[in-house]
This record gives sequence, C-alpha cells and structure tokens, in this order.
Amino acid sequence: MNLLATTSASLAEAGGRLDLWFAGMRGPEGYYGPVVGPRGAAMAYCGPGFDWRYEGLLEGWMSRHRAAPEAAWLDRIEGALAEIGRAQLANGAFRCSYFDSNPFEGGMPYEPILVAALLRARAFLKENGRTPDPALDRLAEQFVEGRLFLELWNKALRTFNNWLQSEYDSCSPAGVAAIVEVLIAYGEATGSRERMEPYIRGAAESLLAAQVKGGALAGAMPVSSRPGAPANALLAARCLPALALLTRCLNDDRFKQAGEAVEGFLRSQALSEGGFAAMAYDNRPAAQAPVFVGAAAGVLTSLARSGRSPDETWAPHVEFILRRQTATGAFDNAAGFGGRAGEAEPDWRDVVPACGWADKIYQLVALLHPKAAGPAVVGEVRRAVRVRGRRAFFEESSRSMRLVEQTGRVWFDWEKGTKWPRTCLL
Amino acid sequence: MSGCDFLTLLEQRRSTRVFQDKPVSQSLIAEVVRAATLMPTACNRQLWQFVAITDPAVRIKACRMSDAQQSYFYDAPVLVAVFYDISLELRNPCSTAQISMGLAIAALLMAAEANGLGAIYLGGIRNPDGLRKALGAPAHLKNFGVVCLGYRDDDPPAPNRRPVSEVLDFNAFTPRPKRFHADIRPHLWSLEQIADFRDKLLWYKGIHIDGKTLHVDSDLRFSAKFQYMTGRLGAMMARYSRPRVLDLLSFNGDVVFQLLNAGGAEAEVVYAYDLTLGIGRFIRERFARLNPPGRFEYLNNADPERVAIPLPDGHVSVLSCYERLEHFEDPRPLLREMHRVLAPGGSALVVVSNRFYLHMNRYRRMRQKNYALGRNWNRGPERKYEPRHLEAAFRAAGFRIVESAGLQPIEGVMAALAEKLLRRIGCHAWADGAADWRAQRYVTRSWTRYFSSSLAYELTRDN
Repeated sequence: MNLLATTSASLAEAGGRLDLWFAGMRGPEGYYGPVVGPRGAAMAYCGPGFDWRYEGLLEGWMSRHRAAPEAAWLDRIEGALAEIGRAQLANGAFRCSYFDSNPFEGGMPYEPILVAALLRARAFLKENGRTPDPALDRLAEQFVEGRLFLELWNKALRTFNNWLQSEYDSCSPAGVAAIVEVLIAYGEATGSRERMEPYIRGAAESLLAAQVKGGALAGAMPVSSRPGAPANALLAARCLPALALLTRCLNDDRFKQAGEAVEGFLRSQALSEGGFAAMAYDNRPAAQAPVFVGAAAGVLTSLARSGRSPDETWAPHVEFILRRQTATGAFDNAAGFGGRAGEAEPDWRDVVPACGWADKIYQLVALLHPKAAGPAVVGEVRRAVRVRGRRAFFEESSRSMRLVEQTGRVWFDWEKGTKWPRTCLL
Repeated sequence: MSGCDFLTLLEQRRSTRVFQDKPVSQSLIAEVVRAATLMPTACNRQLWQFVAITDPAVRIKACRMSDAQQSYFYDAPVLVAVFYDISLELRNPCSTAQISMGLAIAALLMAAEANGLGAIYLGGIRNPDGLRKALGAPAHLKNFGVVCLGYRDDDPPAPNRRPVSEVLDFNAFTPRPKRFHADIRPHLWSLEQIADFRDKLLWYKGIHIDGKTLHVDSDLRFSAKFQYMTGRLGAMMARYSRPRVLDLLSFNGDVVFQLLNAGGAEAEVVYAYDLTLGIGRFIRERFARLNPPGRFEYLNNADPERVAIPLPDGHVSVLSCYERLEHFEDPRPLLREMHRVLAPGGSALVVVSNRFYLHMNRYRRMRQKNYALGRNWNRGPERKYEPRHLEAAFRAAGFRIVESAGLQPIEGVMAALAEKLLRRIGCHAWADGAADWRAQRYVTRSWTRYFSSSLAYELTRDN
C-alpha cells in the first residue's frame, strides 16, 4: 500500500524508530509507561497496561508478517497473547485495563477492544500454521460469559452497560461496538454463533438507536446514548468496523447506511492542519483541542478495518502524525493541551508519549508501509515545556522520562521498566 | 403446612437481586398477590392496590420517573408496585395504613418464596410519587415501593440474624445499649456499634458476593482521590523489597484489591484489617470470585472493646488509612496501633476529610444542630478534622509527617464555579480553560491544602 510516494521512506523510518521506542517501554509484565488520555492522566502508575495498547501492536505485527512472513512476528504475537492472559481476573475482566485510569480494572471500551484484537490475532496465528494456546479460548470464554453476559448485559435495554455501577438507562456506543466485534469473532471461532445471536442483535439495535439523526452532530455515534451527549471522532470511528461486520453478518443495509453517516460526521470533524476535533457538541461550538495524535491514527485505522482504502484525504492526517515523531522514536501525545496549540513551549501533556496512543500510530504506519527501516539506536529528547504555567523541560532517554522545572524542581521522574515513578507531583 | 414448614420457609427466604431472563406467568403473579390480600388490614378496609409491571417499556418509564437506583429494578421480570389509600388513617398514632401495607408486602415475599420465585422489597426509591404518575395511579393512593419478582439467578448467603434472646423480653422491657445511633457524632458511638453498623451495611448494600455492585453508584475508579491514593501507595511499596502492606478498616476491600492488582506480586502480603468476622467473610468471598494476584490475608480486630490490630510490633512497611479516622471521636488509639505495627522507616498514607472545606450542607446542618444520620446512611459516624489537631495527634502517636497535600482544593471549587458561569454566558473556550486548570490542580501542596476537601498525609516512623 503506497499512499504517498513522497512519504513512504519516512513511513518506513517512522515504523522502525517506533519499534525501537516500544522495545524501550517493555518491562517484565508488558508495555509500561504513563498515560495522558481524554479523561485524565495516569502518571502515578507507570506499570503495564492491559488495555487497547495491544490492539495496534497486534495489528501492526500482523501487517508486517503479511508483507514479510517471518516467524519472529508470530512469536511476538504469541508472547503478547500470553501476557494478556496472565492479566485476566477470575470474573473475566483484566487488571490495569482502564488506560488513563490505570491501574484499575474493567476498562471500557478498552477491555473489549483488547479481546477483539486478541481474537483476530488468534485467527491469524491459526491461518499461519500456529496452534493457538487453548488458554486463549478459556480467556475469551471467561470474558464473554463471565464479564459481558453475566455482569454487563442490560436485560431492560438489551444492550451492554459500560461498567458495573453504570447508568442503567444508557449505553456507550463505542463500547457496545467493540463488544459486537468480540461476540462475532468469538461466535465464529467457537461455532457458538447461535448463542451470541440475541446479544449481537440487541447490541446492534442499540447502536442504531444511539446514532444522532440530525442537527450539528448528524451521523455521529455520540459518547453516550443519553440525549444531548457530545461526540468524539475517534469513538465514533471505532463503531465503523462493528457496523461493517453487522452489515455482513445480519445482511442488513441499515448498518451500512449508519456507517456511511458516521463517515460523513468524521469528514466534518477533520481539521485543516490534520487530526480531528477533540469533542463536538450539539449546542455549542466544537472543542478543537487537545488533538490526540494517536486518535487521528485510530480514526484512519478504524476506517481501514471497516473496508475503506487509504486515499488522498488521508494525506493531511498522515503528515500531521509523522511531523510529531521525536528523536526517541516516540510520537507527541497531543497538540493544544492547556490552550497552547502552536506555542514554542507546549503543555507537558502534549509531549509525554504513551503506549496506548503510539500503538495506533504503529498500526497505521504498518498498514501504509509494512516494511520498517530505521536506525539501530534512537536518540534522546530534551524539550522546553510548560507545567502549570511554569517553564520546565521534558527529558526522555532509553532509560527514563523526566519533567524538571527550570528551577530544578522535579515534577515527574520515572525509570523505564518500573511500575511506579520515583517522583510524581502531577 | 405445619409450623415447622412455615419456619423453614422463613429461614430459606432471601432477598433476590439477580433474576433469570424468564417471564413469570400472570396466573402465578395473581397467586402471589392473592396471598397479600389475605393479610389483615386496619378496620378490614383493604385499601390496597397492586400494579404488576411486566411490559419492558412500562418498566423503563417507571424506572426513570421513580429515579430508581438499583439494577434489580431494571432486571426483574416483574415489578409489583404497592399502593395504599392512607387518607382514612392519616391521624392514626400507630400508622396502621403503613402497617397494613407492610403485612401485605411480607405476604408477597413469602408467597413468592413458597411458589419457587425470588423476590426483594425495594423501598429505596427516590421518587415514589413519580412511580405513581408513571403508572397513572390517582393521587390519593400512596406508593410504598415495589416488590421485584422473578426466577432467582443468585444464591446469596444467609446474613447474620440477631438472636431472639437479644430482642425478646417478658413482661417488662430490659434496658440494653443502643444498637446504632441516628446521629453522626462519633462520641456517641462505641467501637462495637461502629463495627456492627459497618458489618450490616456491607451486607445490606447490595454488593453481591461476586463483587457485583447492585446499586447504580459512583464508580470508585473514576475518583481522582482514589487514584491518587493508589498511586502514592504503589510508590511507597516500591521503596521496600517484598513489603508487607496493611490497609486499615478495609470495608469491601477496594483499596486492597487495587493494590493487589497493581503490585500484589511484589508484596510479601497485603493485609486487610477490619472490625468484624462478617466483613472478613465478605472480602474473602469477593476476592475468591476475582482472584487478584499476590498474597492477601484478612485480620479481624482482636478486642471488641478497643482497636487492636493482631500483628506484632513493627511488622508492616506500608500502611494505608483511607478516610477511616473520621469514624472516631478520638483518633489516637488507632494512630497508636498504626505506629506500633509499622516498622521503623516504614511509610503510612492517611487521607482524612478536612473540616475547613466549604461543606455548605454540613455547616447549614450544624447551625441547625441537625446531626441526623440520614445523609451518612452509608458511612455512619463521621468527624471532620482540623489539620492542626490531626497533625498534633500524628506527632503524639510517634509519627513524623513527611509530606502533606490537599485533595480537591478550594481553588478547584472556584474554578468549577467560574466554568459554570462562563458556560452560562456562552464563553466556552474560557470555560474549557477553567475546567483544564481545575483538572490539573486536584492535588495541591501549597497553603491552600488546608482548605481542601481532604488532606493526605505521608507519615513515617523514625524509631
């Protein structure tokens, strides 16, 4: 796939350098590091996360293996699946799965996204002559039967709740869409399609019911099915693969039309400089910042997974993303936190990279240019940033991440591969 | 049916909170309601009415209009809304209309059990009048809640029952110490009363034994305070090799569970300590369903008269106490015990509610000398501390204060107000700025910490 002839070399290099950065973020149990997300920041816990960070990695490795079938990629996939298996709790949920609320368990939509990716990877291993560990089947069964059906299924609404103490009269379309992906993949993998059917149908109808029919957010899948809920491009785009699957599985064109409407909404959210607006509202202007770099990649990979091919409309987004790779191989987290878009000294939250965002870029880069190339080592970063209005420096090397104020005050100091930062005043 | 059968039925009955997705026939519902109509009423007026809700659309409407908070309200196949015309008995000193309704509800529950159904009476509805309107009942009928009916899909353990000898007297009342107090001031509460209150509350609250919280409630995982607590404790654990960790008054075990999830494998053991064996049983059964990594042990208070942690001196390296000192008028006995079990050089994290925060409702109630338990129905006795008194108590117990921070400081409240105002006048960009400013300043170490909602102290023991 060659989207932009001029950027293929940079895509190859970006992929190679990002691979090296991910290698540096490895710890004994998985991929470590702090997270700055849309809901908040998990800086005090820097241990492994078993959230959506594995999706982009698994998809990226599968793309790389398709381009150059080497056993090493399959080994990596098997290793990651084993890691995920060790993080499952007895009720089917996963510990440390809440992304920007890590280390808490029960992350939504992060858990179903993780399990859907795991099921796709399991099928991929099988296609390529590997016998998946039977423990994966038990893991998926435990998640579907224990977590989804027993704990999250809402009998009144006939869809899935977000979490145990969730509001019982609404649902979150992005979470429900990820669950649909899990159920369809699980039904196909185990031949239990009939058992899944009523749950899939219920969830599918709730997705259609949640879609905004008119007004400023026409076509959007909002963050919640509650009336007046705002919409976010990434969470809306994440519904596309499920809608495509539902069109095929239920042979129902309503889902195809819903997918086309979501794409229309996504086009309206694209920013001229690349990336997508942070949040769109029905009754007030959209909040454009912060623009998460990984979210832009997530929108594009969701489009690709729903069957869309990369075209020239992707170019500004790809360029927006590639411009933000740093010397360590990581990518900036976002642009525009603290109202500092375009400033020479960005807010610290713009620059602290997170595995759970970088994986989406990895997936995109591997999709657009599956062959990685790059230096054997990556450099270090020292950038002037603002921490709560004060001038500070963000430093990242292969060993650590630090935020140090100009006066010498240390705001954050984390040694890579450890769970807890030495200092965290954030 | 013999008397023995009747007692067996009573012993077997449980409040069912999880129902099978299986309809109940109208004839069976009628049979259950018939039992209610056989019960006595004041002056045999029989002014009750029952509405069985089986249509999902009506149920959702009823749920929304009554502002119900319980999952089983949404999940039960049948809701029987119970009404009584109380207008004739408004002045009756023994509230006979209410008693009549109570008898009918008891019959409904027993008849459900006898017919192989599960049931629970739900009186915790925020807006019973909304339920009445949702069902189109006339205004003279008062709603007394609902009975949820259906085929049982849970098997809850038997809660503890008070022995008859404790509740029955012959010919004259025997004075006994008060079981609970309808007053939040801790000086009224003995340790035994606090223990009993927490024990019963934990089992009542509808937290299923597998950890499923059956009430729609705030999710602890989205609490910035809880996230701060988990992060700080994790960092403390990382200072020691194979630390022993102790969480004080663990209640449902949330803090311990998260510590095990995040760092259980690195700890030698994580202890949960609380005041009753019932709480221990709850935590153990909850953890058995979740199986978090690492080693966990429950410790029960060693002496019913006083706080006594059953651990040797200097046994633990990390200690946590998350909003628990508030239960005690005098925090010093608990602090002395904490100091005793903490190893020299160990670390303790104590989070306490601050008296000097704008708890406006609290001030209003204090001015009215209203200390009723109502608002604290799920917390029990509570005292908010002044920082200087607390810090003096820490020092008196032998602790050194390493650091103190304020959580949810007063400037955050101001920023929230500013955000609200700016939104109202349409300045959304400025409002977003205020929201972002507030989000970044949840924890403060400046002087404003003394005006924060909670104070977090990191303590150590030097010798």
